[in-house]
Parts: sequence; C-alpha cells; structure tokens
Amino acid sequence: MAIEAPEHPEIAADLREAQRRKGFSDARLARLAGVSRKHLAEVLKGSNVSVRILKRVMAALQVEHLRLGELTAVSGGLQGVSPDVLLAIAEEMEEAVQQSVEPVLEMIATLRSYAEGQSPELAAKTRAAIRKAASDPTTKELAKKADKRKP
Amino acid sequence: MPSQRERNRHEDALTLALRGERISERDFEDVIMDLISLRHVDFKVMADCRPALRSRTTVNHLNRHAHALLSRAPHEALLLSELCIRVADALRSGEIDEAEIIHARGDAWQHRAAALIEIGDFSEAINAVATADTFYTCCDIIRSEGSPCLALLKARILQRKGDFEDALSIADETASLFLTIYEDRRRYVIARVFCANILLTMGRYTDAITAFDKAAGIAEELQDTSTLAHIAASMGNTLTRIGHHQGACEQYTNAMELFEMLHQPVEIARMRIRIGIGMVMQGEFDEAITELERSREEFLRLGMPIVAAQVALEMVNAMLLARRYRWVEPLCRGMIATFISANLHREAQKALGYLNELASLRGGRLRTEDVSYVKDFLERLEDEPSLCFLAPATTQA
Repeated sequence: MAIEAPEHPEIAADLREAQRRKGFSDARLARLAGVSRKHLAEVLKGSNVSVRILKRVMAALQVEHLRLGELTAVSGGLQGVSPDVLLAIAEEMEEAVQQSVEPVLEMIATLRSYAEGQSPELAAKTRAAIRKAASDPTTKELAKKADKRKP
Repeated sequence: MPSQRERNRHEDALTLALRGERISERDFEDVIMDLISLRHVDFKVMADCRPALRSRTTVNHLNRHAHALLSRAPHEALLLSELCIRVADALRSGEIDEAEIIHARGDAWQHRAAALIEIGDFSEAINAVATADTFYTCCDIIRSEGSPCLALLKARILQRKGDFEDALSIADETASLFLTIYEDRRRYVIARVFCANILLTMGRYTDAITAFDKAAGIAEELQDTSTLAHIAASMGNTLTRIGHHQGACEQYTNAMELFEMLHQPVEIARMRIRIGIGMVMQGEFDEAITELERSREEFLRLGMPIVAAQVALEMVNAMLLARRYRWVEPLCRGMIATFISANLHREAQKALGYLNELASLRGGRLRTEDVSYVKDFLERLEDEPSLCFLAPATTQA
C-alpha cells in the first residue's frame, strides 16, 4: 500500500512543532481543541481538513500564523498557466471582492445619510404628500373660500 | 488681567459655547455673560493665550449654535451672537486673511440681528443689520454671501411689523437673486419658503400652497431634508388655517418623522402639539390628549417650561371640549407642582395658579375664555419676560 504524500506538509510541520513546544499529547490537544482524535490526526498529517478544525487546533496551540507552502510562491506556481485562465481567475476574484464589498459600502452610505438626517424614502414620501395636498380638490376649494375672506 | 480661576471659568464657558451645550440652565447664561462682560482689553489678553478665542472656526461654531437656538431660546442665541462678536473682534490680520476677518464680523452681526428679530427688538435688529451690511460692503469679493441674507432679515423685520407687501417684495427679489446671480439653489428654496410663509400670513392661501408645493420639489431634488421638513410643517399650518385638519395632521406627521431623522427634539415636540390640536378639531379628544401629554413632557425635558405650560392649557381645552370636567381639576393641580419644580417663570406660575383656583372653585367646569386668557398671557410672556399677570376684572369681581 502506497503511502500518500501530505497535502500541506508545512502546516503539519508548524503544528507539530508547536505541539512539541507545548508538550501536549495528541489526546490532550484533541481535548483542548475540541476536535476528534481522528480529525487531529488528519491535521497533524497535513491532510486537507476544514478551516474550522484547523482554527481550533491553532487556538489550542496558540499559533497565530501558519506557512501555506507553495501558496506563498504564487508567482512561481503560476508560470506557464494560460493567460486566459489567469484572467478568468482574476475576474472571478474581483467579482467576489466587489460582491462582498458592495453591501458594506451601501451600508456605510446609508449610515452616513441617516447620520446627516437624510432619508430619500422619507423625503420622497413627504414630497408626495405635499404634492397630493396641493392638488387635492378639497384643499383647493377650502383655500379658495378662505382666500375670499383674507384679512 | 483675569485670575487663573477666572480664566478656567471662561475656558469652560467657551468650550461649552463651542459645543452648543449648557452645563446647567443657570450656568449657561452666567458663564457666557461672564465672558461677554470681560473688558475689551481683557478679552484681547485672553485671546492671546487661547487661540480658540481668535479663530474663524470659533466664529462659525458660535454662529451655528446661535442659529440653532433661535427658535427654542432666542435670548440665549443673542448671548452667543454677542460672544461671537467679541471673538470676531479678536481675529488678527496676521493670522487670517483680512477679507475673511471682515466677513466673519459681518456674520456675527447678522446672527445678532436674527436673534434680536426673534426677541422682537426691531430697532436694535435694524442697527445690527446695518452694521453687518457695513462689514459686508467693505469686502466686495465675498459680499455676495452675506448681503442677500441681510435682505431676508430686513424682510423678516417688515413681516414681523405687519408690512407684508414690502416684506414679500424684498423676499421675492432676494430669492431671484439667489437663483440668477449666485446660482445658490439651496438658499433660493429657503427664500421661496419664506415668501410662501408671508403669503400664508397675508391669507393668500392658494398662492401659499402653490409656493410650498414648488419649493418642496426643489428641496427634494437638493436632498435638503431640513427645508423639506419645514415646508411640510408650513403646509400643515396652511391646511389648518383653511380648516382641513385631517390633511394638516398628515403633513405634521411627515414633518415630525423628518425632524426625528434630523434629531431636532424641539421641532418634534412642536409637531406633536399641532397634531394634538388638529385631533381636537376633528373631535378625537382621547388621542389628542395623549399627543399633547407627550409634547408637554418633551418640552419640560427640553427646559422650555413656558411652552410646556401652554401645551398643558391645550390639554385643559381638549378636556373641556370633551366635557371631561372631572379630569380638569387634577390636571390643573398637577400643573402647579410640575411647573414649580421646572422653575417656570414666576408670573406664569401665578397665571396657572389662577386657573387652578378657578378649576377647584367650579369643579373643573372652566370656561374656554378663562383658558384663552391664561394662554394669551403665556404667549405674551415669552416675548416680554417682564409682564405681570393680572386676573381679568370680571372674574376678580
């Protein structure tokens, strides 16, 4: 049976080193992190695990940063990749960023306008009510009558 | 030269004035007066130590706060404008552009004029307008910013004096100037609203309604929420005057929502009174009393006991119209206690005491004339704090 190479050897190495420094056994670390022994083994093996599990283990070991292996050398890794693919990825990333930023910007603008006492909806409602009152036949009639007895 | 203690006190006063807040009811006038009463030389010496006392920004802050206080507390606005004149006097030509200094002095006098108009001291207001005009005339380049505003103040004086035709003519001309010469649509719409209000005072309701409607369109375009709120309130006043109370309440409610957005508690409370009175006119007494009660509490919280007392009288009125005589007596009794603790003007207390006495004598069956008599007195007392209350001759007999 062939031994599978770890997918994230740098992460595994960093975490093992931290575990050694802390002097935690696997059982203790799993308990502290609140993950199963099986999941912990996966993490320490450098397998693909969820970020949630990884974060728990990091928190238990008080590790703030991890090396991400080849991801730290993106430029080297992208050499030879078709420009079309790179552009498509770039566009996708840009869109993702915009999608996440747009609601935030919108919220900021709304907060600002409310802080400055502006509410376009309320202003529009008030404007509409004034227009309605001005063109209301009852108003016109009453105003006309009142005009006649002006001081 | 003032002592260190005095200087600290003056610094507190200035900080307070810059924030537009009061340390307490009593302290506000004291500290500001203290600062104003410093001899000219002493003020200049203080300005040497404290850059804020010779800063254009301070002049702007003080003017803005004076403007904000105009409708709520015109006497305090006057005090702030006087302090502002002192600060503007202390501006130095080496530190600020000469034309800016002259303009700042003009602005300070303009705000003094506005406060004097609110108080009803028209002759002093005319003098203040003339002084401001002299400053603006000295700096031709920026004269444009101040002179039309002064024209509006002149129109306001004429309006308050009852010379509506001339007031309207000046305001109309100024509005056109704002649009054609200065291309300032924001001020244009304010001037137009002013014209519409004069038309309302003149009883030209149809014209006033048209003018308010047009101004509202521009205010919305400009996203000028404050002006739009005032237009809605004025539209409400117009509808009230022509007897369309339901429509008026709708306008007041919209205006109130906008004032809530703008964080203007005094205007919110004012809208509530008008809604309450509108409800009384429509026979919705219970709802009216609730609205008026809320308004009364808000005015008490805002430190405006005379207005709160006027609202209480509106409540009495509503109860009389609803024939709820049993409610009148406890309300009158409660009013005395509430207003004594709120430091209501002594003469106003006497007026309410008189009403309370009548209410207990007649088992709450007050006459609407009695309430109106006291209400009129409180209204006059706002303009003339030296008035004395005298019970009407018929009742005394």
